[in-house]
Amino acid sequence: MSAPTRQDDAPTTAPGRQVGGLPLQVYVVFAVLGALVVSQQWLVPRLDSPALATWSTIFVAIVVQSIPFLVGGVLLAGVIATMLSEKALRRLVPANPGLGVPVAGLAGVALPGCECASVPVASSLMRRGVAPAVALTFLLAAPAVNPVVLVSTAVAFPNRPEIVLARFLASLVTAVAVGWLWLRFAGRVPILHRQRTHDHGEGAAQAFLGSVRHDFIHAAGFLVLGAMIAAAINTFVPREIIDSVAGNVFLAVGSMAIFAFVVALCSEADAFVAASLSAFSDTAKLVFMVVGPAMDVKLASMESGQFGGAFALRFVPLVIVVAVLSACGMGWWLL
Amino acid sequence: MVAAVTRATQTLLLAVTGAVLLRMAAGDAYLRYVNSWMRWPLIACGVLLIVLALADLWRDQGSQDDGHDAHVPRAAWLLFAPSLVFFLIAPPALGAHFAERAQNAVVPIKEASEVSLPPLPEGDPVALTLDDVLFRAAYDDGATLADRRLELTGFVSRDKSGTWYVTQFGINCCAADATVMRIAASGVEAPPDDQWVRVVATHVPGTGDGGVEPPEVTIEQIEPIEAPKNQYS
Repeated sequence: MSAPTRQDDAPTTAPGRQVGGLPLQVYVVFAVLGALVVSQQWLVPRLDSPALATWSTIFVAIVVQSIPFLVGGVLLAGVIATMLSEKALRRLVPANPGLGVPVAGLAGVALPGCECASVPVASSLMRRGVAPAVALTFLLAAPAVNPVVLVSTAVAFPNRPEIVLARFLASLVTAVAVGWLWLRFAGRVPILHRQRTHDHGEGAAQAFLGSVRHDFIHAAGFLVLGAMIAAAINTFVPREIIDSVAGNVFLAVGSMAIFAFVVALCSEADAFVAASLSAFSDTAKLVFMVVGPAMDVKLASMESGQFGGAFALRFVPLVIVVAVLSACGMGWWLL
Repeated sequence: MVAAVTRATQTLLLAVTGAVLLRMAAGDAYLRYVNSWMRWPLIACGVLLIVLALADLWRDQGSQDDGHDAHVPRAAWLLFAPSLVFFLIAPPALGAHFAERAQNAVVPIKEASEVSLPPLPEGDPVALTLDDVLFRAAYDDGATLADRRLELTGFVSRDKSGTWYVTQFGINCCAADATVMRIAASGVEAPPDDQWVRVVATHVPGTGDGGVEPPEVTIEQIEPIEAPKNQYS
């Protein structure tokens, strides 16, 4: 499982000087971490301000809450990347992408996960040759229409089954519509950081671990960035700004979409927050619950990391517009 | 310019993150950020990340192939941030600073249907949770609370006008979705912000009706207590 054939070019590609086989960087980082931890007793009282404490609590909370879901996602992505045979994958996903899109939308029902799990899964599906539109539909549907999310919505809105139904339909319509639009007008998705195929005789376990590690490191940094922004919005933007626009129909829908995007809640929890926004109409709450799982600041950050900034610039607005229209349509029809 | 994250540093990143998750889940620290059912998923993740790091050390014994897939986004550096914040700031559970800004917990009012709440359990004073008080105060002018001494726990927070509250947060998934439950207190001098207290108090009739404004209580006794392990409900 070692790779002696590649050893010759290692010194030219590895940044930093080599110390005993490892680049210098890791020692520097290790020393900095050690110094910070040792000086903790001295630092903690100096970083004591209520606003900073609130920000850091929410920041750590979002990261800690998301990491298990991200790990679940990269494990599933690893299974798809290394264990699912081409044949089995072809049997699961219809060959015609036009048909594959709604199938992927409904397949989302079966994967109870948070939205951070679905980015590596979608990326892994694309690497294995699944049409981008189909993988993107799955990316949008999986966090929004699974049973855990629907049950939590039912709990947050007791005796309001029509809200659960409207949420399910609006999210499904969003995922399928974005899939079909992408198929018709865009088609290709750049896959950055394409994994090198493991051609030097690694075992299946080694390949699996390699895939998990690769996907985790790629996604986690962007997850952290999104969590930092969301925590800052939660802590520093006065809630009155959000509440003051609740009265106007258009402002309410628009502000709910923006609110869902910036606060980046877990899709299993957003129904409870939506229910607590009592000043807003049911349609505006529905917009919040449909936009949130499909697109938010941490997802946008992760997607621009996974698929590139140019992709995110087109995909993020498209998803938000389709989600808002779909939620408003369902709200007008059902609520 | 930020340096690229070398493969060895990536391994360190995985190990540190895994260790921090285990450290959080081993004690009660994780309860400051997420719900209690997250403990086992966090332990599993911590173990997995450390296994990934160890597997890589083992692999590296035979190869110094650091250029292999070292080209990860520089954003990967940010993964050190949560671990450092956890150790350096040691973020506390949400407190009085956030109570003024958080969403109020929703009291499920069903206007059409008649609700008959069961009477309070026996006992004097009777211990109640804050959401129970909010709920009972919202119906029938708080008829089921009338003439009873209530024992409540929570921490102290204040609003802009200077009213102080017995306060608790409720969370569903993590602290980002916290909603606040507040009961306005009068009758005694307010303790400092964030101090946990146990109070014996009576409900002021009519306050908190309909679940719009917080209910009010008049305090008879107050004692400071240690913050509970899990400060959210």
